[in-house]
Amino acid sequence: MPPPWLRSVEVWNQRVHIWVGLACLWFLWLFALSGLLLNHPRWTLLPAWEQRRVETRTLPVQQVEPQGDLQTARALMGQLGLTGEVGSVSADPAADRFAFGVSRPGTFAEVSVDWARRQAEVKVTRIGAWGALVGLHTANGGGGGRHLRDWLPTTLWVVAMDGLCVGLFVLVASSLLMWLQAGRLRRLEWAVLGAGVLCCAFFLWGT
Amino acid sequence: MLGGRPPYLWLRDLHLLCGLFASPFLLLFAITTLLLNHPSAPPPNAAPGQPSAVERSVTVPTGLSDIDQARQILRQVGVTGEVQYLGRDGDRLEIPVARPGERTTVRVDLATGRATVERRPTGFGERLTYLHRAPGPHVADIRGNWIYTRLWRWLVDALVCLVLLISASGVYLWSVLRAERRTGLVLLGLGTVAFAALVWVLVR
Repeated sequence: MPPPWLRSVEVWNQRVHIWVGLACLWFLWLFALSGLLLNHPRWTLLPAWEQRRVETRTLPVQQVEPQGDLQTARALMGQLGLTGEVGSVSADPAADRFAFGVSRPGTFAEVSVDWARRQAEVKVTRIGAWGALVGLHTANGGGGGRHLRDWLPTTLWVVAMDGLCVGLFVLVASSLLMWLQAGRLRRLEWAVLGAGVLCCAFFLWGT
Repeated sequence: MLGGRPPYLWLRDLHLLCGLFASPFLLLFAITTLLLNHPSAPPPNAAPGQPSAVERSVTVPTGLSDIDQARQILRQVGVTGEVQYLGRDGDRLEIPVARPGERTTVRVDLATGRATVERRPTGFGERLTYLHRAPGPHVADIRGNWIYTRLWRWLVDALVCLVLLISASGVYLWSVLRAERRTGLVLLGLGTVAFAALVWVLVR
C-alpha cells in the first residue's frame, strides 16, 4: 500500500495529464493535421494554390511621415485596410516607390506604393481554407528576412504554440510517471518505448 | 468485452503503448517548435563547424532527369542527403544537400566535369529542426529524393495517426472517469474557446 503522499502524487499526476490533454486537444489536432498536409502538398496545398483567388486594386494613399520601413508599412496598412504580419519591405527613394508584403494564414497581400502618384497597387491572394489551415502551422512571424513578430495575433498564436509545447512536455512526463507508478512495466512496454527512442535517434544521428 | 477485458482496459493499454512509442517524437517536435519560434535564443551546442571545400572530377551523366543526374553526381563525390533544389546557370549546376547534422553544396561545371564540394557541419539545434521541417512542402517535384526522407515522412505520417489515436482514446478514458468530468469539461471548453478565438482572429 503506497504512502498517502505518494497516492496524492499519483492522483494529481493523473489529473494534470487529463487536464492538460483536454486543454491542448484542438491545438494538437490542428498541428498534427496541418503537419500531415505540409508533408503531402499535393493533397490539398498545391490544388488550393492553383485555385487561389487574386484580386488587384489601385487605391489612393496619403503621404506618411518619415519613419522606419516597418512603421511606414504599418501606417499604409491602416490606410489600405490590411491586417497581418509584415514580410519583405523594400524602399526605393530614387524612384519614389515603396513595396511590402503582408501575410496571414491563407492570405497574402503585395503592396506597391507610388509616392509621386499617391497611389498603391494592392494584390491580394487568397488560398482558401486548406491554405489557412496549413498557414496556421507556420504562423510564427518569421520569414521576410526578419525574425520579428509585428502583429499581436501572431504573438498570441506563438504563445499558444509555446503553451502546446509545454503541454506536450507535461503530458509525456506525467504519462511516464503514471507508467512507472503502475508497477507493471511489461517487456512489451519497454520494447515499444525503446523502439521509439531508437527510431528517433537513428534519424538524428544514423542517416 | 474484448478478449475478456472491458474496452476501458484495452483502450488504456493501447493509449499507453501508442504514447510510449510517440513520446520521443513528441518531445522532438515540442523542442524544435520552441527553437523555431524563438530563433534569437541560441540553441544548445549551436556553434556550427567550419565549412570544408574540396574539388573533385566527376563524370557528368546524360540522358537522365535533372534530379537523377544530380544524385548520380552526388554518389560520385560521396555526398548523401536530401537534394533541396537544383540551381542551373548555363553550364553550372548547384546542388544544395541537407541531412541532420550537415549542409553540403556541390557546384558542378557540367562542361569540364569539375565539382566543388563544400560541407558545413551544423549544430545540435539545427539537427533537430531539420527533422521537424522535413520533408516539407517546397519543391514538391523532387522532395523525397533521399530514401531516409521518404522513411521519415512515412514515420511522421504514422506519428500523426498515433497522435489522433492517443487523443481520441484519451478523451474516452477521461469520459469514463466521473470524478474528472466537470473539471475536464471546463478545461475542454476553455481550450475550445481559446482555439476558436485565435483562429478566427488570424484567419478572418
